[in-house]
Amino acid sequence: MNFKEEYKKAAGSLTPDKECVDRMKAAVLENISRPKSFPFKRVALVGGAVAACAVITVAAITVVPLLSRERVLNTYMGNDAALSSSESCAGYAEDIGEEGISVQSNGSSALSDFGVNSDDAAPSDNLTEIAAASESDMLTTTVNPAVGSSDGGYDEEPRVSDTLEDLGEVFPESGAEPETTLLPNGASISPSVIAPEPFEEAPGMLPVETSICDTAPSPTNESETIIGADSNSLEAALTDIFEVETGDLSETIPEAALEPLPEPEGIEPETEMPPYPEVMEEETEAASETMSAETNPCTGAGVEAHSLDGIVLAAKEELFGEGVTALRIVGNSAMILNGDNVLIAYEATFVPGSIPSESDIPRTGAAIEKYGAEGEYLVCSNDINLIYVFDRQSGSFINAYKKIS
Amino acid sequence: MDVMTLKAGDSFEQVMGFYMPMVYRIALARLGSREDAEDITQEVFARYFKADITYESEEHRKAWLIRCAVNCTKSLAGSAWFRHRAGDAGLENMREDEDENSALSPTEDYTERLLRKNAVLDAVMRLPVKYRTVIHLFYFEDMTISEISRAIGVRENTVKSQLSRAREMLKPMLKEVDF
Repeated sequence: MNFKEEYKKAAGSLTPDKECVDRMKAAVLENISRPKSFPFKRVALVGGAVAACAVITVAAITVVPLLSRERVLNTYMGNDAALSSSESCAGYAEDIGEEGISVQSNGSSALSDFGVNSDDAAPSDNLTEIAAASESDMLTTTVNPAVGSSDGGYDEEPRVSDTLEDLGEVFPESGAEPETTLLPNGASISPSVIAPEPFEEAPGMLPVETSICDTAPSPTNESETIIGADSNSLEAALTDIFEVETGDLSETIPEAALEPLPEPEGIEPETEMPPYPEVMEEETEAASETMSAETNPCTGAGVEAHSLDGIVLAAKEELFGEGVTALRIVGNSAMILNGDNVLIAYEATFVPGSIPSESDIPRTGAAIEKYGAEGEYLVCSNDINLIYVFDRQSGSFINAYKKIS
Repeated sequence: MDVMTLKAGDSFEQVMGFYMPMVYRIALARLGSREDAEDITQEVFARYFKADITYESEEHRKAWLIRCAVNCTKSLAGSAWFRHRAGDAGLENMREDEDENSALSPTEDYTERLLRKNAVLDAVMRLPVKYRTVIHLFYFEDMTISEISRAIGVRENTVKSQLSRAREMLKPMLKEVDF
């Protein structure tokens, strides 16, 4: 049996019958005589492909920048994000600055200027420190009251955008000098002093159009150098005050006050008395002549000398730190000085004549120091954050100064 | 056979009468269903007349029709509707039709021939599709390996190997048949 023959016989019988043939012929004739229809299928395929490509393109154009921005912001705020150099921080700042948030481009130098060493810490940490310091007054920078809340402080946790916007407010543009804060007497303080609350102008404030802050702050030690002082400016400020309040000193200072000050007991003058600034020598000498031994209660530890009436007093290094030379009260401001430099600045916090609460006046304690201004004595709190002025005879409260740096 | 022009649209009846059984059998051999084979035949000839090609030779026309039939069956076999349909329902129907057509003279000799014919056809239909095609073209259409190669678009060695494997697969099923 041959397979070819058998298969030809089997397959040869598989023929369509006549009806099937006629049906197929009619179907083919109808098919080829039908006009060519519009190629809906081809159009749908091409159109769908084009639409899909367009959707993908639009999505890529829209989503990719958003993802990049999210990544940048997450990198800023993420604790795990460790940016190794200050250049990367500056680069991010520039990227965000292009999106409408103004941030100083040389971020590393700006951070260094404001007491943050960006080389020692990650930039994200620095930014966090800036936000936190702006809230807690720890950072020696100037706060624009418009940046914070309505009361000048920060009521809420600073968000990223707020922080960056705040930075944009503090650093309006690359290379621009930060804003300065006016002291109650009108003098300006360099950006190393932060003002958590907007300054309220106290009555009796004397306008002094003088800048006493020229020395750049040290970025590493906040307690060493905060505010620089111009001795010439101080002299001019003091002169203005004297002209307004005391007028001619020769008429008001009694002759007894012109006698030399007594030597403090148990203290070597050469070692204990820090040299006064050159520009202040004339004032201190003149002021020391105005004090008498009776009116000068400069006895006891910490009180070494005082000069003009309630203006310049010697301060104690043990209390205010190393290098302190004088306490100066100018109008509603008080300053602990080291020569020309202002180490600690105070501002009047109570209206003169008002009575503070008992808790605000630490009358006892090792840190209480008395200074023998005429008719007044000073009390400093233990943490040297407050200085109180009382009337010597009546014991009534006169004024208080709060540390602002 | 009447002389046909090589231009497709000039001789509808002649082309349909001569090549329709071939296309129908190829489709039936690949799909195993009469209805599908009819649909494929209609589709192939519709394409043939729509294409309106002037062929180089009669061999060219035949190869074109075979190639078009193979492609159409591939398209239909790849469709989801066809894959989810019962696979051998068409083959069963085809055998029943054959039995009905042959039931008029139930002699013993005819029964033996019918059983043998059904056995050969059943064995071929059990082969994979690609083997069925080359078996049909080689044994029924009397095409050479090179013609089959050109017709279905594969290499000659592929056709040879497929033929060899098809025979090897048929031998256990058709022990009394010489290949």
